[in-house]
Formats: sequence, C-alpha cells, structure tokens
Amino acid sequence: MNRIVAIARLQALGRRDAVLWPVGILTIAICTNLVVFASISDSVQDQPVTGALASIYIATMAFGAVAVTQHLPFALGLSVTRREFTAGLALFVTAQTIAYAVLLVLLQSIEDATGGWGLRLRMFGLGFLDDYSPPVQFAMYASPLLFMAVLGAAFGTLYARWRVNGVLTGVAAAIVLPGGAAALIGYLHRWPDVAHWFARTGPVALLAGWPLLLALLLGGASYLGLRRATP
Amino acid sequence: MTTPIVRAEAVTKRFGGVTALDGVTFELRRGGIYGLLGRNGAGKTTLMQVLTGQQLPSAGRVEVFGGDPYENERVLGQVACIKESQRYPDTFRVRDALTAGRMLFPHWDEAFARALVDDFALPAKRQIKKLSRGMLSALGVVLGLASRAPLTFFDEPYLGLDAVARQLFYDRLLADYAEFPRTVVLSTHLIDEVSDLIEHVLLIERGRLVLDESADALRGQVVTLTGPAGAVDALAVNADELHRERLGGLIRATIRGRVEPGEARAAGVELQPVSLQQLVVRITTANTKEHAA
Repeated sequence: MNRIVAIARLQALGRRDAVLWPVGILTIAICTNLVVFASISDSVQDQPVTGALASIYIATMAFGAVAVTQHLPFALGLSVTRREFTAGLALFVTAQTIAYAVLLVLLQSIEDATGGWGLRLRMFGLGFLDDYSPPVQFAMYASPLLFMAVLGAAFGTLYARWRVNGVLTGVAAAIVLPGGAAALIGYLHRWPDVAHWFARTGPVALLAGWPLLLALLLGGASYLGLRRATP
Repeated sequence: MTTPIVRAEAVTKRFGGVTALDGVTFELRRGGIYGLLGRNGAGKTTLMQVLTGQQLPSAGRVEVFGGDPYENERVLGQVACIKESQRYPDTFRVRDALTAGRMLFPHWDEAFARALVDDFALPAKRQIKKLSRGMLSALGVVLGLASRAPLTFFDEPYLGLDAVARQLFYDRLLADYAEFPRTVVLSTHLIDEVSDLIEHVLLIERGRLVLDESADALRGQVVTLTGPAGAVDALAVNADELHRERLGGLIRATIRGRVEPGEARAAGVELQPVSLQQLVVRITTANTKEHAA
C-alpha cells in the first residue's frame, strides 16, 4: 500500500506546475471574464453564463494523458508494475478530483454570495447547479472531472500500447461512434425519445451518475490495455 | 556464485518479422558482475527488458528470483534496470528522479545517492530534459548504483560520459559491489574498459547467445599463434580457428582451445593471450561468417 501511495506522490512530484496549472488557467479565465464583462457591463443581459468552467475540465483531461504517456515509461524503468502504476494513478486522480470539486463548490458559493462577482456573472454552476445542496453539487462537479481525467488517461494508454495509430483510431472512434449513433437516431426518427430520456433522467443522474459509470468502465478498459503496454 | 537467481529457457522475442531473441538459455547466479556483450541490435536491451518484465517473451520462459518477472511486485522489488534510453517525465528535475528512486527502490541508500550526485557533479535542481547527454547517463548510473537492488541491470549506461566519468562509474560500482555484493549485469560494447570488472561473459549475436563463460576461463581459451604456417597448423589442429591473417611469410591465427606454452616455444610459434575485446570481435566475426555461409 505504501508503494501505491509513493507512486501516487510521484504523479504530484515534478508536477507541482501541472497540479497547479488547471487552477491557474481557471484563475486566468475568471479574471479575463471579469475584465471583459466589467468593460461591457452596461450592455450585458441579465446573468451571462461564461465558459470559464470548461478550462478546468480540459486541463484535467490533458493531465490524464500526460500521466500515462510520460510517467508510465519512467515508472516501468524503476521496476514498478503496470498494476501498481494504475493503482497509484487512480489514487492520485481521485484525490485531485475531490480537491478540484471542493474548490468549484467553494467558488460557486462565493459567486452566489457576491451576487455574481459584483457583475451578476455566472461562471460556475452552469446556471442551475446552485439549486442543489453542496454535497450534490460536489458530485455533479466531481463526476465529470473524473471522467475527463480517465478519458485523458485512456488516450494516453492508446498511445502507450499502440502509439500514434492507437490515438488516431481512438479519435476516429470518438467521432464516428456518436456521429453514427446520431445518424441512426435521426433515420429512426427517435430524437423525441432521446430528448424524453434526457428530461426523465434529470441533471443529477446526467452529471453525477452517468459520467461516473462511464469513467469506471473506461478506466477498467484502459487498465486492460495498459497491462500489456510496453512503452 | 551459488544459487541461480535468473533462469532463461529458450527465450524468443519477435517484433513483427524481426527476431530480436532466438532461443536464449542461460542462468545468472547470485553475486557477480556479468558482462552482457554484443553488437548494436544484437538483442541485449530486449533481453534485459524481458528479464525485468518490461517486454513479454514470444516463446520460452524466464524466471527471476523464482517467479515470472512480468507484473510481479515481489520480483521487481529486487530488480533495477537502468537503460541508456530511460525516459523521465518532462517536468522532472534531477532531485525528483532521486526522490522517485528513494520511494520506489526498497534497498535505496540515500547517503550513497548524495555522494554519487556530488561525484558526478549533477545539478540537483536542473530539469532532466535540459541535462547534457553525459549528465543524463550519470543520473541513470546514480539511480542504478544507489538502488542497491539485488539484481541490477545497466544497459549501456555510459553514453556521453567522458573517460573520467566512466572510470568513476567503474570504480564506484566495484567498491560498492565489494561492500554490498549483488548481481550486476552490465551491457556494453566498451569491452576493454570493463574487462577487469566483469567476472562472467554473456555474448549475444543476432539474438543468439554464443558465449556463456567465466571471464577467467575465457582469458586462457583464446590465443593468437604467430609463426610459420605449418607449425601453426600443427598446434591448432584440435582447436577452433576464429581468424587467420598473413604477415609476410608468417601466419597469425586466433584460435579457441588449449595450447601448451612449451609446445609453442618448441615449434617456434609465438603464443599470445587475446584481450576480451579481441576475443569478442573474433568470435562474433567467425559467427557472422558462419551465418552468411
């Protein structure tokens, strides 16, 4: 167990910047938004929703990819097994997800308390998350964060196992599968059913439930790929 | 040199159409410095990767400390494998790699690591990707030595190291080995430099193990005979001739086999021992010719 913790710590080691980068990008995005919206505050509509939140999710995905492509070859060189590496990475990603989600819940509460940073801005919560209690908010932030980190790690695994061809196949699959599904739904005239499903499922299951399930499935599949990777 | 700690049985590794290892069988015993010799592309790195669970053999079996090394924490906890092409995360500094070594190698000696960092004048705060080729090699050497792993592999660890730094590596290795005996496998093609260091030679050629012999036994085994053709032929009749060259009216033959010094003297043939490097070159070349024929 100590060894798994050590491997998780390695992810943070030399990664001070990468742990801090998503927060840094988020801060920059917040500041930019504040400056921009402050400059046009006379003409904005009520409660503009900005894209600052997306930056932390993108940064988390990039982190997942780097965690595998750069740390796996190093770890294997230092006699770490793929199983230990995966467990260490999972531990680190879980801790990171919790930290970021707590941060987002806090920022959300600050936004609410300051009347949208004094500008009626809505950078967090997508305009509706603050209707829920903090624990539910936490889950709705955390679950997609976890999914994005695992998605990045999955692409990292494709690279570690099958190099560029693996990544390109993964990207192609990520385009073709949803596209094909959308086309199929269109041909079958089932879009109303899909809309109905989304409405019935509700925001909590959509943001907290499904991403978690997908993250677990994708994470499991990635481990199977990683087990025979020889970077 | 008692118990075998590594057994390789008919290990074969293919990458697509290329056969990197072809039925390699040998044992490594506890305690000893092994020289894994061979030309570039002979299969040295692949063999070490199979032995440390980083690659899976296509056929055959490896057993390290009584178990399959692949995904085996118990085995790998006793193994270190420092390869010339070791990759480090982009953001890592020298000291991060050392911290990793401290956290991951159970037998790590921090004081020894610090002393080695000083010896090699490694800048602890510098990013690894900004190190010179020689410093990068030195970092690998530090990790490998300070790991004190019961089974330590060094895969051409000296790239970019100057002669002084290489000598430092050999000196530190030998001194630490004397104090903390372990099994060290040193893959190299700077054979003359390590010939005093290694106790056992494993020679790989085109993925095949062509020599598995103690260094001492080898030294007497291969000699050159210089003299008149008839006399040389008579002496070499029961030996394996590896190489022959004509020097004016004389013949110089490199042979593998025993020749009594007294007989050589009596026949007017000069008998000379062959350096390990010459020996490897001769055996490898003879093998290549055989292969081509």
